[in-house]
Amino acid sequence: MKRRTLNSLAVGLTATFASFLAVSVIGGQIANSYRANIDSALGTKSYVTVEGEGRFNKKFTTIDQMINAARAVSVKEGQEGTVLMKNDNAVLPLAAKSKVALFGIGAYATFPYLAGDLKAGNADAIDLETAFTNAGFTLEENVASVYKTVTNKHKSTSTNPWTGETVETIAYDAAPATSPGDMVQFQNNEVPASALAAKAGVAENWVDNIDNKATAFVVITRGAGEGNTYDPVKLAKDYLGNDTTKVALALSDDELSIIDLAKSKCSKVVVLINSGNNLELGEISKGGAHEVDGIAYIGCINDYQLEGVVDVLSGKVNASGHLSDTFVVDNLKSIPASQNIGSGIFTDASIVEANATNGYDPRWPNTEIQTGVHSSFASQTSYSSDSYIVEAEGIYVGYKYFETRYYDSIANPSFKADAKAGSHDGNAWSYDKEVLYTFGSGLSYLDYTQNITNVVVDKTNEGDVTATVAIKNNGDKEGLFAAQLYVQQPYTQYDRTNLVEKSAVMFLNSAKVLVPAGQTKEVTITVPTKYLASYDSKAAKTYILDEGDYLFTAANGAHEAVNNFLKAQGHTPTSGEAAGAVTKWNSVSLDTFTYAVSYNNAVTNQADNADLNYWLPGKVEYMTRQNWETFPKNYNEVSFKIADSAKKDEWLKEFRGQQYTLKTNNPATEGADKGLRFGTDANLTYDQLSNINDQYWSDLVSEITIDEAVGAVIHGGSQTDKLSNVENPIVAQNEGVSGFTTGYTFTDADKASSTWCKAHPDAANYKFNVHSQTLIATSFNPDLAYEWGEVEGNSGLWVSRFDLWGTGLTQRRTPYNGRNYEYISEDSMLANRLGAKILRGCADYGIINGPKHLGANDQEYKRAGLNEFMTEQKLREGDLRCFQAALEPKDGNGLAVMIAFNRIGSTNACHSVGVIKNILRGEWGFNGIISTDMATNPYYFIAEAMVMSTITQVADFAQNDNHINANDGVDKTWGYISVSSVKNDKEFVEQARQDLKYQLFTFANSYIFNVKTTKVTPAWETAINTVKVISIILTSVCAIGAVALLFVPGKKKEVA
Amino acid sequence: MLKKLLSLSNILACVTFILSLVALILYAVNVNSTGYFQGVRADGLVLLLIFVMVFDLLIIARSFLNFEGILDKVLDLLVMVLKVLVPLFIMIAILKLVQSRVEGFGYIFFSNVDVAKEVATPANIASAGVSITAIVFSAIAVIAALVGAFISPKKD
Repeated sequence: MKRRTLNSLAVGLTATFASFLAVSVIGGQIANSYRANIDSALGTKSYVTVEGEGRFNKKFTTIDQMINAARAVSVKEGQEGTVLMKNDNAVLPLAAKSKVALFGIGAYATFPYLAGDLKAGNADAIDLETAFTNAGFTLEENVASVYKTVTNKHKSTSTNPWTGETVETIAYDAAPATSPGDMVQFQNNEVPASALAAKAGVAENWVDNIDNKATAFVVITRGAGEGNTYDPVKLAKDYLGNDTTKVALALSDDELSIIDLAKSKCSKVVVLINSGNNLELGEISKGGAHEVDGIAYIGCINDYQLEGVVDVLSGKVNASGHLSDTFVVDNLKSIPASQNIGSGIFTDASIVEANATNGYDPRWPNTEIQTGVHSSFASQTSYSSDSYIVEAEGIYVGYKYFETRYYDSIANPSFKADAKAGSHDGNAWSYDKEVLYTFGSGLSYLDYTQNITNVVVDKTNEGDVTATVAIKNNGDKEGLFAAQLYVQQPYTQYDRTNLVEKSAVMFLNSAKVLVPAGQTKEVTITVPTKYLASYDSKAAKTYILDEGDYLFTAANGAHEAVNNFLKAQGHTPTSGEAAGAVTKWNSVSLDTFTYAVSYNNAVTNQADNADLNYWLPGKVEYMTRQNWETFPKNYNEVSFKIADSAKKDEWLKEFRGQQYTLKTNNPATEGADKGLRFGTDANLTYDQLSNINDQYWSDLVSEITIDEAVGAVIHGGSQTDKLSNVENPIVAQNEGVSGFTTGYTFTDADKASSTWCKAHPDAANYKFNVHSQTLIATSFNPDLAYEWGEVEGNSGLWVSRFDLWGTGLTQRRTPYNGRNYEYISEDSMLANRLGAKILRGCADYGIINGPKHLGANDQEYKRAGLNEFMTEQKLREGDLRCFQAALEPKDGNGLAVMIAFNRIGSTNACHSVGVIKNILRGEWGFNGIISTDMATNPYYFIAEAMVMSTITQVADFAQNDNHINANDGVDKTWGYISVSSVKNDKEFVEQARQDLKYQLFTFANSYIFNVKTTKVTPAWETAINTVKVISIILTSVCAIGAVALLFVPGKKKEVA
Repeated sequence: MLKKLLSLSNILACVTFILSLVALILYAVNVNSTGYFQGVRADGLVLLLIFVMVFDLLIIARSFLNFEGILDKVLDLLVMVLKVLVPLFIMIAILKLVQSRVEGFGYIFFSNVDVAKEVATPANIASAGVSITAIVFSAIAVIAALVGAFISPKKD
């Protein structure tokens, strides 16, 4: 071969192998950043865990025990969470072995109907049809046949784009919409009665064959999900895509046509509400044009809840569920919070922009930064600051509004409760015109009474209210009953002067008890006394306990409680009746000190600037009960100019996330190895495990380098990364609110011994995300909530996952939030009590369960930047109270929390030192893990602000980037962050180390401390490394050969 | 001269030049157009592709320069190095582009139904499409450059 040809060959091969080398080196770095994602897609592992003996041990020691426990609690959720809202003409309970006709596409695709985050989809999952037949009922086959043809449940295949594997899923030709969209026009897929015959391919007169002895169940469904918000105004489309005259949460004409069909053909009709978003039910309620015999709320179900639902419908168990929200006539006009959803835009939003006119942001010189709020998941060059809502309703969310206004209409006529403002029909307001079904209400098959017999109030900082309630079962069968404890706090002149709002009734806690027929049982309900206090942000600037009478009662819902109070005070209820006793406790004087301290920290104002009046005085009139004409107006339509604020410069800093500026004159100490290691063989003492302030922890984190301390927080990701000098564990985060979405893969031993496996031989795994948050809420049973927490926690031990975002506690401010199904209630105390139990159940088994989304995640629409203006009293007694008990060490002992996407006021919730550092960590004593939601916009989520607010990890998808110098010495996300730029700010660096201290302390107090993590090399990494080594060798050999062939002289041809 | 210009080595260098230019234009469009990847830059990519195009021009120019002795050898060595660097630089550019886009692709194409509805908008999908097209053009440029590396600009 000619020399030149050989040379070209060598050059070509050098180029080829050099390219392979580049792929293996750089590609390897990329792969390393997404290690967990690649492992998940390919089924490989990068870490193996060896679990040893420790503080936490499994409660369920065989897989059958674990599965049975998961199933049992799910069935109970159905049994205890089903709410009987209407039960006329003795429609329920059903007669044994009777016939049922299931109408509505939701009866055959009950939401959620697809396996995923919300639904486990195990082999033994039960649908409504199966639940009825298993319970001995027969199906009306004419109706079932038509609907099965119309919905046509079938298997569908898709290809996994990463592995090429064929994945089988379930699909339907007609099913309820799973996602309503984000403030868009909703499409209601219900097929009207007039179209059923054509769609099913049957004769029009098929309805004549329907057995009129059957009881009809019509399932009305509304789907929901992340990134979804029901639009309150836009008229919905029908199943064909045509505009209708109804809004999304009203019963559509097509749905009503199905109800009318059922009414015309069947003996009785029951409507089942399958939704986490409250529907407008006036048309089917008492006196409605399409009134039905029965209405039951079944929430959003999962694999087994329908078995429990049918247990209630059949009368196998007593109906003991209670509504966790108020159902009203008109969700938009009746509800004060609904006046302010969606968003307004600041008139002069552009003054926040960074540009040549306004000036550039010194952190991003010469970069134009806009202000529009866009998708939560897109990286964008925007401060995301231009949109706002004003939560002018204050504390009056849900029943607190309706029941207080009702109370005042009788007891305080001067408060103008009968004003037209807030009346859905424009006439004088009255309770019965606005409210259909109240918070806490629920019918029982068995007649019962509940009466409070005693109350003891321990008015110390950590004292409890202890109430005894006697429940008398007047029925002829044993039954489960809920005792609900309510209080009325005094509304004094001090409150009126200082705008401390008080609801006329407040739920405190509940308990459920099984009572034999004809007997009375007493149940004790306790709740921390501090929840009787109200927040006074104007005068005392702390929690106060007013002087005056505190009335306690036990009642079937907030309305009955208010009637009990009215009667006790000598008034006559005008809607419904009083039914129970009232007990009084008196506070002799105004107390502004007992609850002014919490966990040894002062409790004082932290969110003055969350109120729009702070920036623009006098612009907002928050609703006050002393004048119900202050019913909120729509502030989205009001012009607010940032430039009009006397505090404009301060306000601009909030918009731009400039809460903290890196200092340059106080050098930090570099981390140095002191030989301390966080390992499972570390003999941590009791003091060290129980006291984060023990010197051990400070010494441990002092070993972390500046680069890694800051990097590990701002790039905390979805999985912790190894820190030099510390040997911390690798911990991956998991989802979700219904339980761990990671399945348990059966071993050969399981398959040989497990009864469940033998019954389902084709099942390779079991998914434990079998929970229904909606039904745990309506169960009103804290013990059941703990039982679910235990199951959720133990399932984590079985799947070897120890950290999850496993519950949602955000307050349901309006019916429109697409994530209401993940949350518990409009009432902060119901969420407070149930949330605490769920988290305690997990924490008792060492599982880190972080609730979502602390900080008023009141709507999905524009959540990534929305300014939410509110009073501090509303913030504290509303959304924050939902989370408080769950996260306090002496109550729920939750070990983690996720912060909301939105702004509190104009401060990114993740930047809020006031809320996160001072309230959450200071006042609540929380030392756990705090994560952001997905921080994809670096101009909205600011690194230094998040470190200083004590966030322990900023969420993103990448891993293994726990350092700053990811790209030529500066951070790849925040280019102004580098070791050079942070090393002279000791306060900042030490705060980052403190943030990691919270993380390591939490790991030490969790099951993770039982676990030794060892890194292994997956096959894909081995392949990359092999290519790297071979490429280096071959590139070098070929390059040398090419040069040699060029310069080394060849043989000279002899000339003859 | 035309014969020299139309040599296989030069043709491949031209193809590489053009494909790299197209990829660079697509990247510029991607970064400056409305969509998910607006403003999302891959550090160093522009410089790498500019170097690639300059190297291609130098490779083409070499075919027209004839010297004697050691200078000729040095130029040959330079061309050898350039022929290694061209595909290497394009490959690095591809990897940097992929690195800057992979998380976005994940959101747009592989999210669950609810997140996908928010992220997989027509504008974002189009933006992702432009990124993918840029990657494809760059990949073809690599292949052309690698083939060209096996071909000497001079004949024996």
